[in-house]
Amino acid sequence: MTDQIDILEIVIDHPRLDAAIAPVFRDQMNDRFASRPTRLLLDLSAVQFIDSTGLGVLVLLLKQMGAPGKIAVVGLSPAVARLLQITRLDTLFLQFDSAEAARAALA
Amino acid sequence: MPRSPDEEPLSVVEATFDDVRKLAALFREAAEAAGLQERVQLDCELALVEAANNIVEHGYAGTTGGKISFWLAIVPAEVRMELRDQGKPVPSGQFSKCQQFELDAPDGRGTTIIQSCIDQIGYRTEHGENRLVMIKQL
Repeated sequence: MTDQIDILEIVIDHPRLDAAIAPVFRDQMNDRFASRPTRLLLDLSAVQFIDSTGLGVLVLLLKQMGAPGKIAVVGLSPAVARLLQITRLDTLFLQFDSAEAARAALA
Repeated sequence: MPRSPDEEPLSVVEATFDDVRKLAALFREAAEAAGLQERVQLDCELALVEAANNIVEHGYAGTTGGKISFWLAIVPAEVRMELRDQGKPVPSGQFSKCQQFELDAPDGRGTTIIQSCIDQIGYRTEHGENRLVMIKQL
């Protein structure tokens, strides 16, 4: 019998993940994290901009998942990709061109 | 578009995170009209938002009714952004310190992000007004 790892998949529908929306976004993520996943797939296709506050919410998710946790992101806009690159968080948030590729990597 | 701080600012907004979005929208509109390269637009908008967020969160912490004034000049050689506020000044030397990103820190990246996006940063406080100048070379 093979253990199957459950992947929590979340589609972010905020066009701007910034300080203005961060408290709401944080609460939404905390609600979704009640199941304490260790694999998270974030679809950021709708996100056109993210600032350090929005990024901080994502980092908190990674910390909540602990050492075995992995986060994959898909649908990065140029602005989101740029911030992950600047902050070197592109080493922690695994980037994929498709949800299918992300799921395969997280499994 | 106002080119010099001697002129009226492009905008004066309330020191709220919602109004920081207004500054970002103004910048994008001007940047697209000027035909700025995408990378320049991204870096400048991000630096602008981070700087304005810092004013809201730290400069005017514990107060209400604060204002942020914004000047923008886009010329062939550079993009020049200036923010002015009357809040608590940024600690001395903050923008000239060499800082590393803490990968797993939940916050505290704002100033380092600005340093990564902007080529020249100037900051001074005069007569109770803080002035942050950010210049991106083109």
